[in-house]
Amino acid sequence: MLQLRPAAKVYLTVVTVGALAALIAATVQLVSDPQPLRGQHLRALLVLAPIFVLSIYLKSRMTKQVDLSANVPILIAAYLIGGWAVACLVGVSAIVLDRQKSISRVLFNNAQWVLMGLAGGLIYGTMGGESMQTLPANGFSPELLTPIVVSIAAVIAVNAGLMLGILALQEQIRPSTIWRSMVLTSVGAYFAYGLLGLLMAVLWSIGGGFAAALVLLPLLVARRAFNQYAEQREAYESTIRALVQAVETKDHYTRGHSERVSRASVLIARILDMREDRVEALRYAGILHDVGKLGVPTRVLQKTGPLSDMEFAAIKRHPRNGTEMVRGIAFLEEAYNGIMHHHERLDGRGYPLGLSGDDIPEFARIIAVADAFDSMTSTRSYRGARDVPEALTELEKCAGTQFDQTMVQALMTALQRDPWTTVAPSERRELDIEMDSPTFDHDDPTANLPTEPDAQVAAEAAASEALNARMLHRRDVLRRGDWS
Amino acid sequence: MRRTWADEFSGGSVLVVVGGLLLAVAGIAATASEPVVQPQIALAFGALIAIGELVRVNLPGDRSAAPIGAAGGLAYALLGDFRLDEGSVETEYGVLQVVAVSTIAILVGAVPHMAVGQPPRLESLARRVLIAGFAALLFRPLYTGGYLDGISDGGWQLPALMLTIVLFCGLVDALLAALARSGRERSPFMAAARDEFAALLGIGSAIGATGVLIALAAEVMGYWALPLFALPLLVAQFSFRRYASIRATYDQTIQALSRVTEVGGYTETGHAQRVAQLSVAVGREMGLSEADIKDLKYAALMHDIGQLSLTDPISGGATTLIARDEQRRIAAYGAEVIRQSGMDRVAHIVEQQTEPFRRPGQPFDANIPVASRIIRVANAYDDFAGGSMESVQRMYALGRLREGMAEEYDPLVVDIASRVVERTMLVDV
Repeated sequence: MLQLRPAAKVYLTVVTVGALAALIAATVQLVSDPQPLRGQHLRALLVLAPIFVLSIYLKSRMTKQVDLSANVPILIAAYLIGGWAVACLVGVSAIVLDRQKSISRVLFNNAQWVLMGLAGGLIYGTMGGESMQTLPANGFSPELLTPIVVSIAAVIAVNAGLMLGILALQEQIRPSTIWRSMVLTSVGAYFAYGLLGLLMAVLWSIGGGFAAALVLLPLLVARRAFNQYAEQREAYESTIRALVQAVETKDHYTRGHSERVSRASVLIARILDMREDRVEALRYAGILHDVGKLGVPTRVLQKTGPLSDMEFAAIKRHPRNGTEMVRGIAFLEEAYNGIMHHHERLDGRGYPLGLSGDDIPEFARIIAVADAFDSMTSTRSYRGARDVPEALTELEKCAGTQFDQTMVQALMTALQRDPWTTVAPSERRELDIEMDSPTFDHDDPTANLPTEPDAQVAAEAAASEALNARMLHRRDVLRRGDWS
Repeated sequence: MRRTWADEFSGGSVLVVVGGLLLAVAGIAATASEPVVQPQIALAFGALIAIGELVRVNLPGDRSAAPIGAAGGLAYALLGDFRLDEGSVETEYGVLQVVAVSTIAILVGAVPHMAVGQPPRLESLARRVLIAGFAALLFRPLYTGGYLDGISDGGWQLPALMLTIVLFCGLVDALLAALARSGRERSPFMAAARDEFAALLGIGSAIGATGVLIALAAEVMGYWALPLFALPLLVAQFSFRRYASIRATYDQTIQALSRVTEVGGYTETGHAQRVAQLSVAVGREMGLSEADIKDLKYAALMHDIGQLSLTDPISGGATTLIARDEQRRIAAYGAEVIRQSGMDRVAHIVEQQTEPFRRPGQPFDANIPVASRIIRVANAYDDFAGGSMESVQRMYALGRLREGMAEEYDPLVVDIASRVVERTMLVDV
């Protein structure tokens, strides 16, 4: 059960009472309509309400995605066809099937629908918008577009205003955050909804509810495709992770390294305000930056003493090997560059090409820093893990010669905001099949060094998961536009 | 997969293309001989179809589609009354004009694609013309003959009639597509038809609905109906495109990462690719569904991933030549890796690939997935033949497979694999 804060309680009461008043007024209005009109409105209510209820049900079945809701279009269609009264009553209809966990959420969300319908309908009516029932007689005139657009704006305003209130009072999310991540991002979607509502209303006037419901079909298909997309994407990520992990089993010390490098790279990219599709590419480049190591003999990778020229040459081939391997995947060109050049140094003494300064691609400069950072903060055969401040100091020392100052700074800024956890949630499932451990030289005394103690690993994983869950919850609330 | 002229004109495709061509020629010839009826409406719908063609998308499963173009063609075929400034008018054009407008618009919209060297499949264009013609054939005589006057104002009857026609068109389209596909991929017709019907439920239903909606709404909105009602379909199309593109990336990634064992020196160059190609060809001939083919392909690409757990690479990566227990251990490890990525069915296929077709004195084990049996054969073939194009080497490999038919390999799979190999003896697999 949800514990409401006192202020939120007052707020919820006010909103609910307002919606109740609107509902009473709507019922009175509907009953007092003169006859042919009353019949038409009742018919609209009887057909639209079930569709509305149904789409709530559809929505609650898939929560975790950016939602293409069918409810807003139906609400808009309701007032375009039957005015504010019908819209209010359609808005409350979903309460019969609402299966939220807490009564306060049920009340709030349904009150919100009612008030949205009320606001849209009133504005549309006052601005001289005619009921769409008159379309067959008068035809569609572009002059209707103004009241339609303004009324949709009113619907958005009510939705955003009410959400702003409850999220600020109950969930304590700052209004500026809500504004940025909810209101601004959903305006476009809302006008698309408005358009759908209009289309439904138009069809209503020609072929009744049957034709109107047809409009939802493309929307449902779009939504299914979107869900498939989301699923596929998740599958894609876990596949890459699993395969990279399999590759990493060649070397105990690098377990989880690729993913952490990817994570640190993304942190840096966020500070640099990088475009979303580039961040995405960088993330993959981070995960895949070391796949080329597979071509390096394990004995060389594990060697603790100084490397011979031949051995070093073998290691130096890994960026090139890795790039070759992922060439077939349609990433942004930058991702290949990131993998190819992540061992270049700013002073030109790196490999494979010995690029220097700004000639080194941005992705490579980022991954280089993330790579070194994770390497320093993890256990190695010849030393224990260093702590984060120590590693950052080390990075700073090498900035300008080995690393790009900007990237090092960005990493430091990022780690002040989000503390670093060495275990990513996705690493919790380790491969539990027993491996032969051929990769270790039996003469090498350090080969069987234990990694981190289990208890610590578990604690880190739990902490990281809790943080993740909190962030996910916030993101979901912000994305959905209702409070559930 | 590369498209060749041979694919384009195999079996059923020829029928579809020739049929579409004949209809298109008839339509254009008939329409050219007299003035176009209601040219402005024709122009508007022609533009919608052409634009739809221009923004065509690749859908999952090697399907290319122009949803908006298809919906536009259907709408033009199903158009009843049309609202103009001066009031409603009845549309008076016939079936052949629908065919002519569709054909010309499709060709216009296809020009830019040809210019950049990505011409749409002839078969898919021909299907579009045929379907627009079919819809028009079912609807226009009823409408222009005045049989629909009783039901055309309001009510559910007209939309229901239109939906029924569209449904018919969808079924016919799926059958035509299956005809072409079964020729192209050498899969049984029924299997192809099942896949096409499944695909129809997705974007197909949105296309059909949009076609009906545009035709209906034009009665009160006139030209406005075309862009406004095409928009939801555009959204759907966008979703599909993203889905198809992540599917493609997924595919590429698995292809690329299936090479880890090669780069690591565990398997021969190209082994996973070749096993996958042979497996998929066999799977198609056996009539596996699209979803099963996908799993088969992924499993085949990653069937050796378990070798990453080995100390020293097996000679040539040929798992066929090592002890069964060792094979099982490798497969189990590979399956575990794949299971972590959430592909349980693929993991199961990989795990079961080491099981012999039947054990001495026992009936064959129906629990082994057919995909595992296919991969077992394809893997063995490639271990024996390598990437060799030499027919001697290939015949030797096939001979070894036949020897193993009694117990090791599924005789049916070996049979089909032999056919595929012999067919491709002279060309690249």
